[in-house]
Amino acid sequence: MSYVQIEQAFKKFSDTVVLEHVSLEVQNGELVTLLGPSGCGKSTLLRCIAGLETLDSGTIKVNGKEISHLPPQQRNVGMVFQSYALFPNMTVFNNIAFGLKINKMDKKEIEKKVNQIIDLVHLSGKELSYPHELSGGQQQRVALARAIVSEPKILLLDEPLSALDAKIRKNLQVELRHIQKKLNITMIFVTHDQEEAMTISDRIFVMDQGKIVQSGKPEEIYVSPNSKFVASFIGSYNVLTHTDINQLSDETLQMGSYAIRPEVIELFEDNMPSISKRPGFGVKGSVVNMTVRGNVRRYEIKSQDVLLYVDELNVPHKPIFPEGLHIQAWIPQQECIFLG
Amino acid sequence: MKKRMIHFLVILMIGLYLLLPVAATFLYSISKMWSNTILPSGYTFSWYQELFTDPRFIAALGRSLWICIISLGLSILTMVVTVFVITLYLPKLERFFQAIVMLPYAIPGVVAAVALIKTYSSGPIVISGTVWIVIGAYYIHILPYMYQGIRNSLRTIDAKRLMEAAEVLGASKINAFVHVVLPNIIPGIQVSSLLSFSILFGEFVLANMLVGGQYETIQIYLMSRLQENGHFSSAIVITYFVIILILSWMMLKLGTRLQNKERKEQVS
Repeated sequence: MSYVQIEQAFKKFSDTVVLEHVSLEVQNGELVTLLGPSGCGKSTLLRCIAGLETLDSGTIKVNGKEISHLPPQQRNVGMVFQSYALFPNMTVFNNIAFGLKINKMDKKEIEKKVNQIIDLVHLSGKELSYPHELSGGQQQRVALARAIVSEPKILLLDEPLSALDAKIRKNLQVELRHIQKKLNITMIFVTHDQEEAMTISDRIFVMDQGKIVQSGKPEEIYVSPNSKFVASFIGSYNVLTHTDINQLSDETLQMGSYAIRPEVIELFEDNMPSISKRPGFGVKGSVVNMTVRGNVRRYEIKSQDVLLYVDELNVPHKPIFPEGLHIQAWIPQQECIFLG
Repeated sequence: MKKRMIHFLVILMIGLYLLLPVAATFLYSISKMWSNTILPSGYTFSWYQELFTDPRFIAALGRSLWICIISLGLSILTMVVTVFVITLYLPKLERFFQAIVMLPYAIPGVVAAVALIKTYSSGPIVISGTVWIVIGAYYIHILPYMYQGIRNSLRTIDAKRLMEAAEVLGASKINAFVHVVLPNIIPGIQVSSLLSFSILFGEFVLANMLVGGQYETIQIYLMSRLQENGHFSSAIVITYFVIILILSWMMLKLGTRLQNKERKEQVS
């Protein structure tokens, strides 16, 4: 049986339906991500699990016990907020110890536990600092430590890294995953950043307009999106209709939309014969724009009225195609993912 | 360098503009004679001596302090809880509440006083002419300052989020309010209280019309003796300033001590 079971969760605010009969299951020790654009209901679902909002209908079970009608104090979940929500009047030590003190734990035990956690999140030496004396990354570590010190059954994280700059965010993603595995905590992580979701999750639930539209392991979702929405949200997929493809290359495909990843398209100069050995079709166009994104070059190729995104590895021996150059893009047939 | 000079000059001029009347009043209060000379022709503390030995003054001061403290205390006790509940749990009522607390701004003191006297001179609550009507009026008089100050503090610290964080950690609503929200809004309450206290301590219209000579406050005393002697009334004004200064300092100290106490309790 799954550790966390959410069945038919339904919630609306006045006339707006925020959660439309959402069901999902999370295994013990698993890190799952609720991924979606803002307003898709992911944070509301998290707040319902924490008890900060109540469901209109549906059930939430943790370890077989129905918790959807319990107040937040009795749910034994930990939560990390986007804004950290550290208590400004308390030191790092007291922030972390707050939950334990409220639960009337023995003083010595509190000190031992808090110090252990402070070590784990690398905040030794900062015990007596106040939140305003810490950097954003350090504040987030305190928030994390405060949430896990009382060993909650599940840890909920509401876009915890979105306010941090890219480098610190990447470091914390790795660290978070490390801590999660080390302590074997069940985590539900909310984010709108697909890259972050890919990096840290065991499984991803993609949400749109109050519904889970796709779920699976990160690699599954990335290579086989099941809808136009997931394809455009999860990566910068090219989404073309069968008429677009037919117009560009005379290739006749089944009626519907197709998703093509930018990195599977190969580029050749127009006057060169296509040398790809993979079965597929060529599309003629010209380079509109090229941007270097670190390890890849992103080309925008315009062919008739269709704009194609193509990613190439940014390696020195590969020539750069200048803007305006006529070019041929080779699209492998088997990489055209049928979306229906 | 030139820029710094200009800044310095601006501050000096504003300082002079603000301090000169107080300094002149003080000089006048310790002068024997000051008519056709630049500085007084002789100095004396006799006006202060007369003031501090006047039992009417001491009684008026005590009355002023008493009604200000009672009104302010009532206001703090009720407004902190009310504004907290409205801001966090009944945000729909906020506009309505805001409009109500702003009324004292819009209604002139004289109008308010006449209305209050009319309302409270016949049943069910007959308090017209007693000190209680002044306390009630003062409570309303400072509503806008207390409301704004407390609400702004709650918003600044994002009290809703802090309450949620504390509740998820296992704290009851009352515990979360007492240990997390309250210590963080003390500076805001303090500022609003200071402002309100100064306003009430210097209030004349309401007190004079509602109770007048029956309950002589410091302002009513000041007004009644203003005509007698310029030196003497200057001494009253300066004493009044000093009292406000001391009280403000005491309240600030008290606030800091409350915060420090909270911190110490956490460390131990």
